[in-house]
Amino acid sequence: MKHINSIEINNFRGIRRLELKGLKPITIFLGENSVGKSTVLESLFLVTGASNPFMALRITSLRAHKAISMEDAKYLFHDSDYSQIPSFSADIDGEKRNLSLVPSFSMSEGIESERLGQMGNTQQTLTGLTCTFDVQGSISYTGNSSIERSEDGNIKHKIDEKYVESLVTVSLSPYNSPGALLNEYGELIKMGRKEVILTALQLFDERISTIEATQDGLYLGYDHLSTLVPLSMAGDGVQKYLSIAIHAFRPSVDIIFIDEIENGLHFSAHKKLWKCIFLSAAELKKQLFISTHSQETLKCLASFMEEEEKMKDILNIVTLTRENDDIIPYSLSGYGLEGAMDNDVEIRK
Amino acid sequence: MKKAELFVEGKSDKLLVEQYCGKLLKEQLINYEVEVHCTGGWHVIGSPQGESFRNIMKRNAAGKNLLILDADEQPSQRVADILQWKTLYQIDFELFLFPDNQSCGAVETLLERIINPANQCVIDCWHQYEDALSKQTIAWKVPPTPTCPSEKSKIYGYLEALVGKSDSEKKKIKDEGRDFTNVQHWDLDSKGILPLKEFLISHLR
Repeated sequence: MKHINSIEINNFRGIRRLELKGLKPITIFLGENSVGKSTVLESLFLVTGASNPFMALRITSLRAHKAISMEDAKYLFHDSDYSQIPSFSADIDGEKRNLSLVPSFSMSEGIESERLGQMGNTQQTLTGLTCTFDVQGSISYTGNSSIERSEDGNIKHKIDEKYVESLVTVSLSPYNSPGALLNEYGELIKMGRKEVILTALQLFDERISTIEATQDGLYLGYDHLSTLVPLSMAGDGVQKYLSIAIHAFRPSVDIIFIDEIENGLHFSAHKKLWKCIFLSAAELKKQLFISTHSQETLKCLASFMEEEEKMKDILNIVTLTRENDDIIPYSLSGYGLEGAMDNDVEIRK
Repeated sequence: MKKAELFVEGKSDKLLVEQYCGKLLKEQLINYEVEVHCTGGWHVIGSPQGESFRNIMKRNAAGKNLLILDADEQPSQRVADILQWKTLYQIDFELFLFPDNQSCGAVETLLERIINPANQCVIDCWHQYEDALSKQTIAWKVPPTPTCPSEKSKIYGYLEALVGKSDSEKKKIKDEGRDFTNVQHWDLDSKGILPLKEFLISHLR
């Protein structure tokens, strides 16, 4: 499995410049609201699909809770300034990846501009985005893919088909629901890993006796119920937990991004979820990037680490802080987390 | 107001330093906003578990970072060990070792020096107890001499003699319940605290 070791982010959303180094199999981002945790996760996600022009719009539509729209793409640019090109440079196990998001425009006659007090100003309208990328590793490649809004309002795309992305990544944000998970669970059944998921799920709720895949979705069996329950009726917590567990144990997935991991989960489930995540990272060599606000989640993590000392080596915690227009990261290892929790040190800001 | 991050070992140390800085601030002898962190032991800042404290210092690079820790038995060695952290971890701080930045001892040594003089008889009785204990032998014990009570016990004993017997009174004996501004128990204008006072004023004015 490939891991992202470092990333440099420039001119993306609220980030003017940020460099993160020494990223480990499990990295947890902390920080105050609006410091840029979600933006960092999005940056890492984008760089893993550098040739896919839809990813930039997709992450924007998730934030805006609406369908993909080219208009919203302006929020990808730092300070909505199109002259500052968002760019990303990552080291993925020795492979260097660079990605830039280059805007394209149509010129249209504007109506009277009250700000300038002139008639008929031309205004730039963002109509397209080109992902210019290059990969330097065992195979070197430079290419670009693009999306463009055509005159009829539809979004057309041009994918660089000579480049085949080697990384498989999954992004789980608080803005999207866990989804049906049917295909993903089917993948695990084919690989004989059904029991692994059931065992992970029983950590969450020991009354769950089975997970069944049917044509219309996943169903859960409970000891105390005579009929199966559709996953969508089973509660937000178990849906979220199962979503993370399934992706964590899918052998095909390299990297998982989880924004606000605590959402929808009762505190009693947090330690069980950490166990599930760390076991999958250790067993399948996955990488996970996670953000949280929750002190309870961190305490549960520290408690889990007390029982699994060796897991401290695969964790780092990065607190993002804002100083003027700059974001400064401060890192902690698993050992540092232990000390912080023992001594009631506030590390979330 | 400028920010100072202070690092001490225990809960009682934290209260002493917080309350003493509050007094100095009131007297306008210092003008820093002070936050005191309890590290759990002198060695913690330099250990893997001390990363969060080191991060606090790095984030406060524009302010003042003060370490106020125990000298214990070998003050010179303690100073040398601690100052190494500056290079090892690229952190900057000023250091004071209890009781007076030169002698052996700990925060309890300083506390003994700043008791209300009216209560000296309590400490004198304790010394007599320690002296009497040192002259006893216990047949089964190896060595046969009773172990001398710790400095901490002395301070507990001192406070226990001063407070009442109710639960709320007893809370004042524990580390986290102490009030060093209580003039019936402590004298924060005592000569014994001058080295700490000078240290704080020199760095937090």
